[in-house]
Amino acid sequence: MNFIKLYKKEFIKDRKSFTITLIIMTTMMLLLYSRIGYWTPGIPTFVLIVTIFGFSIAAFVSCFDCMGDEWEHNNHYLMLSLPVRGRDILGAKLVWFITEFGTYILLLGAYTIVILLGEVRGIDTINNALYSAMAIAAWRIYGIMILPMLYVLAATGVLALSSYTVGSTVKRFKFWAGAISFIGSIGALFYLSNKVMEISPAWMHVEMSLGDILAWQKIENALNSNGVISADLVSFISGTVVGVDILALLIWTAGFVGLFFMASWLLENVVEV
Amino acid sequence: MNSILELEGLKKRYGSIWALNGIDLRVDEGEVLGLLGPNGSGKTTMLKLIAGLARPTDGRILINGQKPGPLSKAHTAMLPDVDHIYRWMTVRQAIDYVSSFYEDFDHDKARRLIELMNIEMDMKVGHLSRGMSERLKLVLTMSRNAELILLDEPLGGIDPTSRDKIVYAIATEYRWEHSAMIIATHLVRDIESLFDKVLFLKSGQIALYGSADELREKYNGSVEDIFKEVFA
Repeated sequence: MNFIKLYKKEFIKDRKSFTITLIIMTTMMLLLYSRIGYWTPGIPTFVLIVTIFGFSIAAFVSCFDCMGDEWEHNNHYLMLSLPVRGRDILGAKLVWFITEFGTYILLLGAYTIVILLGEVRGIDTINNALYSAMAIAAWRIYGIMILPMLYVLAATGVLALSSYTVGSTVKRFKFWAGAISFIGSIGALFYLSNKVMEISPAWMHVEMSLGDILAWQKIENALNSNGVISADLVSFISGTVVGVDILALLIWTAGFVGLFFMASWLLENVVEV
Repeated sequence: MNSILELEGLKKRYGSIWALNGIDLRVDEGEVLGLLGPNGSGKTTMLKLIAGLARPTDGRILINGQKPGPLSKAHTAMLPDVDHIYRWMTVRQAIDYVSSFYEDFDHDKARRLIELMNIEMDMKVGHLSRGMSERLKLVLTMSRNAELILLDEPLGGIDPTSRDKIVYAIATEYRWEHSAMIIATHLVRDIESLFDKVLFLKSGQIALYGSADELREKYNGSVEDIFKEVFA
């Protein structure tokens, strides 16, 4: 219940900028879409890819800001006076961060595919069959990237919130305490996951073929259908795989969960105004 | 009488400076304690420790038998000496937000106090003048029927003509039974009529403590006169 109140506060604080950003994004996409065929091919897609990159950096900065703002304006007096658990405070900030930047990046990703496919459609040598195969592949890539993207956002948020909280436990050298915590946490998790991968049993290393997902077969058929070129994508069809070591993934996840609860405990028991 | 607050050997150190050095205190139900001392004497530190906004270096704090934490915060109302309300909120949003966390928040009291203080409900907190902002903080604190109320410099930033209004608000809206209040201030004259007991802090230690009436009688003067004598 407290989590919902705190989350609502985060939403109300950012709702105007959130709405305006979404409107600007959509307007930009419509503008870029209207420029397909007028601008040099590739430019509209490139602009959106750069925008996604920019939003990724903004997300990184923003997740520090969501805690920093409380301290900068003395609102941490109110935040820490509330009869709530540290996990509710950090959880609300984390979930709002994922909501806000998840929406931005998912939307920008979708817009990029729309623009990319719009540009591809204008290329004379691409027939309908090839276009539809590429569209299927593009949307499937988008679909399978959603979960990893949300995972990365959540991980970034936890790292930022925990390192800011660690920095807040000291009166001097806050920045350095936070930076050491940030880099140290990543370093420790890398070290641990690498060590774990060395001893991880083979059955924990899962490989998933992306051949079907990326519709290589459809693309090959489409390429060969016009008789101009003879494409052989068999190596792509069988060779596009993504490997995940489940044990290493569990270590990373446990590390992030641990960092979150450590930061929650610090906020309740150590951090001072 | 039941004790609301107990401090035992309370110490707080910042670096090499002892902000508080061995405070023992008991505050009972219905009591209003004036926590007096010059700047840097440890008043704010003591209130922060009681409110759970800072941690003691040594010693013990019990609020109705509970250590400071989320549970004690549900029954403790703190008015800090800084502007801590979100500037982007309207007065209405600030009241809704704060009240949603406390079962003891009394909306009728809040309405009365808002009227008394002449605060515009739809005004942004960031647009309030310093005095108005102080008044809003007081409304948010005094609207609660908290067991322990901590006011840190409630008259700070308030013009002299409005101080009577603030003191009146504190006196009329304070729930005298089952509650205790600690008022930290160095503007003694305007508020001393409220004190049952006074505690003079000097360099983190108790310089003088006792019943306000008894001390007035003993020193043959007002609490402000005693303040000047103690800190001369």
